[in-house]
Amino acid sequence: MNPQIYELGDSALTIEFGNEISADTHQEVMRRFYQFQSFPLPGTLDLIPAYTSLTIVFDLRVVASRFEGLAGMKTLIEQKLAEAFTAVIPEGRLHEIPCVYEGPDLASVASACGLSEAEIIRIHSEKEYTVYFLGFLPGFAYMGTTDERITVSRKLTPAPIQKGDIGLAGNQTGIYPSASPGGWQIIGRTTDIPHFRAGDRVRFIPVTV
Amino acid sequence: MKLIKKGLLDTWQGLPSFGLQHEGIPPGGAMDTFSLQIANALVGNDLYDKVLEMHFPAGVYQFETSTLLAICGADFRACVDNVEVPLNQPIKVPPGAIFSCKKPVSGQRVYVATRTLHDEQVSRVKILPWSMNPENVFTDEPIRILCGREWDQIKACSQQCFLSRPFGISPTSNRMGYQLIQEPLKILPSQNLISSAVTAGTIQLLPSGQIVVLMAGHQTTGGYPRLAHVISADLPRLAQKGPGDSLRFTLTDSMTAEYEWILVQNYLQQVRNVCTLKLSQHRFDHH
Repeated sequence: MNPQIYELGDSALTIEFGNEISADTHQEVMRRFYQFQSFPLPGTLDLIPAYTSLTIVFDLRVVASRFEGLAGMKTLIEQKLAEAFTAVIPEGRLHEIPCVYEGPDLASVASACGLSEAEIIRIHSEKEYTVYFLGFLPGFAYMGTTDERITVSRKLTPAPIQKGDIGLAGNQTGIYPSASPGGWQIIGRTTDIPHFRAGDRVRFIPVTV
Repeated sequence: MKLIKKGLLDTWQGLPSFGLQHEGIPPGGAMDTFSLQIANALVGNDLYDKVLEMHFPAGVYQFETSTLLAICGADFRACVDNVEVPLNQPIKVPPGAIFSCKKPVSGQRVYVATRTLHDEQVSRVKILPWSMNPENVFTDEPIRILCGREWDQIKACSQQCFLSRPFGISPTSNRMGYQLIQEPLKILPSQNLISSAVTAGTIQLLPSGQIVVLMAGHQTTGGYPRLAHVISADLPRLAQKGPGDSLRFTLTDSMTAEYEWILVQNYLQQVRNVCTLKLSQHRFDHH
């Protein structure tokens, strides 16, 4: 799929590289993230990678007075996307995170998936995950994708969640970096919350206390 | 400034600070960036300086030094030593003077910019003889929006309603977002969206058909359909609306949004230049 560029309000453009979550699409998002970080377009304020898209937030005053507004920036982005980008893309770091699998929702997740708690723990901890992007809360890393056997839906109403809680939602997993209401199913907890960057890799190591 | 009594939600706010949204850290900043900047201009600060943003009931503060201050945004019947003082006008206050607010008359957030007067001992409250009138910004005109990526996810009749009916603002609204009160919109069946970036002014459609307008304290990403986006120039005006106010939307285009933003920025720069000139003239006359 050719990247689609659309306006996100009057001061941001989103470049969409695909319409489903995949490792390849995310790889392209990260490649372009580093490209636009290394060679920023004029007026760039923020670069926000997500699962399948990269959003560039502009200083509207710079863009509107000197570059024919977002329409002008769209053309510049198209030119950049056509260029070959050869700069070095930082390798994602591997984080091994000790996890105490005693979350309040572990039992209900197990019964919803038709598995035992031990199987949920084994399946969740045997896979290596990719940090797709950070959002929701400062430092909250969206990781995926989980094994389809442990795919669960979000809670209907958000519940109070503690700092370090590890949750599941859809085919994603993540660690809450601070206490907050949240809709994810909590299966474990950690005291080790690294400073994540998009593109990092994560393994959960089951521990008991 | 010394805190005497805490308000409902008093925080120091400047302009949004960008550059960390890829770490999930939102830009934040003042809700009404226009009033913030006018307040700064009136006291001769840089436009982006942090000032006190307060809601009603607002905090009570005491000035420890001779201070030049300006109050902008909401009309909460602001007082210095229990005497009402005007909005949008520079005021000199002596050490020990107390700032308070009597009652909410209009608007949702008040901005108080201050500057310590190092070379001047103020002995009584003195209102300087010039002011800035922001009436042309805080109009009752509909809030201008741009179509969002998922504008087509509501039925044509709901699009009509969206652009013709007035909305209420829920009391649960806060710095993160405004929840609007209206008949639920009729949603067309569609696929689940993949989360991506959102901005201040993004109007999200919830699965229930309700809508939320993201404000200054918004998260960096979201997964709800984006119906529309409030243009940047109209966000300060929206930020002064609250429960009890009615809100209407009208469609505009990105050329207009850009033009209006440039107008506001140029106006703010002019105000700052005029205020700097007035203040230096005043100092000259005073000495």
